[in-house]
Amino acid sequence: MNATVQQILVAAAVIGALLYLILRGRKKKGCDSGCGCAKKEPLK
Amino acid sequence: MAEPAPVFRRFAIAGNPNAGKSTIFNLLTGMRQKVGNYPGVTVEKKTGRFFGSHGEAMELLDLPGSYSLQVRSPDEAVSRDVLLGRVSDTPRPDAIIAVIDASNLDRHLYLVAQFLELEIPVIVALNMVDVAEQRGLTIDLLALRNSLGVPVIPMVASRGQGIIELKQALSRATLQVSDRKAQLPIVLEREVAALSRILKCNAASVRPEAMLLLSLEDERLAAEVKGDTALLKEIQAARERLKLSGLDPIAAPVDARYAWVSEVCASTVHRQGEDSHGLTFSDHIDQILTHRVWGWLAFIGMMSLMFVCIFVVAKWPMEWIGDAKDALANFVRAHMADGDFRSLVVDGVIGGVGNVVVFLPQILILFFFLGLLEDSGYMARAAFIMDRMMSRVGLHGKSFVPLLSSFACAIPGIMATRTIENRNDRFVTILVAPLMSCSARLPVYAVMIALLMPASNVWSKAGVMLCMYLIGIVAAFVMAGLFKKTILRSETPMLLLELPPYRAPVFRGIVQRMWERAVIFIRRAGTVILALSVILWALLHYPKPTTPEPTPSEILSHSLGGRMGHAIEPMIAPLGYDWKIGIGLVASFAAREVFVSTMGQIYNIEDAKQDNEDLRTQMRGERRADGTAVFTPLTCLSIMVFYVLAMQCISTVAIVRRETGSWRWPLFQIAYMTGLAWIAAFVVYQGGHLLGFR
Repeated sequence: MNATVQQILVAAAVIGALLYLILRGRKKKGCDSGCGCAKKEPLK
Repeated sequence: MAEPAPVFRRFAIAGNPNAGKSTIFNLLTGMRQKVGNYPGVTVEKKTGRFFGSHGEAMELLDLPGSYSLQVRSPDEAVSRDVLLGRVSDTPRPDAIIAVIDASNLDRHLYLVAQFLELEIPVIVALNMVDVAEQRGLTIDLLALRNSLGVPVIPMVASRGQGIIELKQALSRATLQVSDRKAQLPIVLEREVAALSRILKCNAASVRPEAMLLLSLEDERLAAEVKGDTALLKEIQAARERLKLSGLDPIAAPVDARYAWVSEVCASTVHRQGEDSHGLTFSDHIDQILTHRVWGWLAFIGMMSLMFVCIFVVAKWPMEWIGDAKDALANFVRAHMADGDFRSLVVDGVIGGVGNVVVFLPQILILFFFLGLLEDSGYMARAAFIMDRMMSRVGLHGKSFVPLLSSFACAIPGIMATRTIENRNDRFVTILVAPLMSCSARLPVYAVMIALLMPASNVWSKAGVMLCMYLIGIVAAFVMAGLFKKTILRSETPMLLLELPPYRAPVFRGIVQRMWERAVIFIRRAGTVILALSVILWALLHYPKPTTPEPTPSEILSHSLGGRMGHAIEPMIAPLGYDWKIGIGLVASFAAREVFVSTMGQIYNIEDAKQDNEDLRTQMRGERRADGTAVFTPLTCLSIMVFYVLAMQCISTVAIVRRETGSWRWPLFQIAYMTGLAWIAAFVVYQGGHLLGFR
């Protein structure tokens, strides 16, 4: 694997990671998967 | 069709949840019930008809189950309004059938005490006498009747026992109002009598109305008097007079009722296995575990033991995970050409994620112990001893569960504040919940403690870990007290806490919860932490210096991450941190455990030749420009204190935004927590220096 291929793979991984974090943030609207989401119940 | 017979008497059936109300309702009415809704609130209204022992028609109204008439929820408000005859389409009942659980008499009699104050006839259905007998309780029925001054019918409703006797009691020619009730302090009685004279309501319920108005919280009182300012002034003046005479108008009636309930129970209930003082084995344990001094010592002892186990037991699995991580890194290194992508895979992915995953055993042991303490019934005792401290700073009793959940993670803790009705109490709890040491801080503490005291025994290490948890608890209480006195003022309601009996923990349940945590942790490591590690790796490697053959230090210093670290260095230098620790601080704002993987990545770049060297060894060898060690004991302590108090968690920020409905509170939270963390770390580092520590 030459240096250019490695650079392309790095760029793809970084873009993928960024996209994942952005899309995850949008989809879940603040609900954190790491700590388990509570059900969205209306406030009483 | 024939007209239904005119109703001879109307009864309301009421009691605590799970006392067997519905069973008795169905036994009496033969399940001929009508279900509707009380107007304005979605609380079910259930009525039914039955015939008394002489064939007279009776109507039965099923009230929602509640623990008191203190009016904290719509259910309690409905029960109270019906019993006071305030509901327009529901006439005031002629008598109350109070259903109580014989095996939990002390808890259920509180509501009966409130019924007796309503000056309405009461008939007590003493349900589940069989369960009480099985638990070794003997109830002196005659003494109970005399103490309450009302008919008491022993029942086993699930088998239909006692229903005939109950019907006979309901059909008696006259139902009398009891003259026994909790003895209120004389000054309070005087104010109740004075207020009764000016109230305009049904003569039969005027005294209970006055009593209720005097003991309401301010917000509820305003809603209750509905703009009658003259009445509001009278009530407030009466409350002021009570406070001047040293009486809390909210707490005094509650205390009086509890005192009366204990008196009644002491003279009517006898437990097998009690000693000469009427105490069971469980009571004896509680005398120690809820004691002012011994209770705290037991709490600290148990927590220390937990942390010792975390260090001792987790050591081996942590080594195995560490070895597996190194083996994987070596495998990739051996089978992949040198270059940026290999560095990303080895240092970013395997190193970054691996350095976090290595702490899985410690986190699982933490959850094992928390499950054990919760299941055995000890946590309720811990809540009891904490409550003294919590109520002193004005924290709501219901804040305990959210704060306890925050030891696992602040997010479920903040969600759990929804049970707190008062907005200000709820917001105070949300603001301080992230100060509780969550499991994501454990890796940071563990690495720092290993650096701080490499040769010390596990008890010392556990002691330092315990101190970090205690610093978080104390900071939460102090800040809560401050917020309650300034921006989020409100009265503090009392905590009604039930101490469940001790029982053997169900290991299957605990193991199941540990498994769930493991899945959550690994999923998080494989998604969020992985993505963050990749981005972090890029931030620590790009842009590259233009000089030919740059040294690893030059690469790091020239990178975007390195520049960020240099940029914030003047702000963090007084805390004893260099620019590399600064990178860790900035990166771990996304998630606290990222600090460990950031440090791993930074030192891997710099020590490129010393493959797979343990992170702690690398950190221990780190030197400043003047040759002194970076991670001195003071710096390690300062970092730990910073992480106890700082709001380093983007997910918590998002959840606070959602739960408070504005950006104002999460931004305020970030500001106050970061400020607090900076000041505390500064005091530790500079104070330590002044005292001659290094």
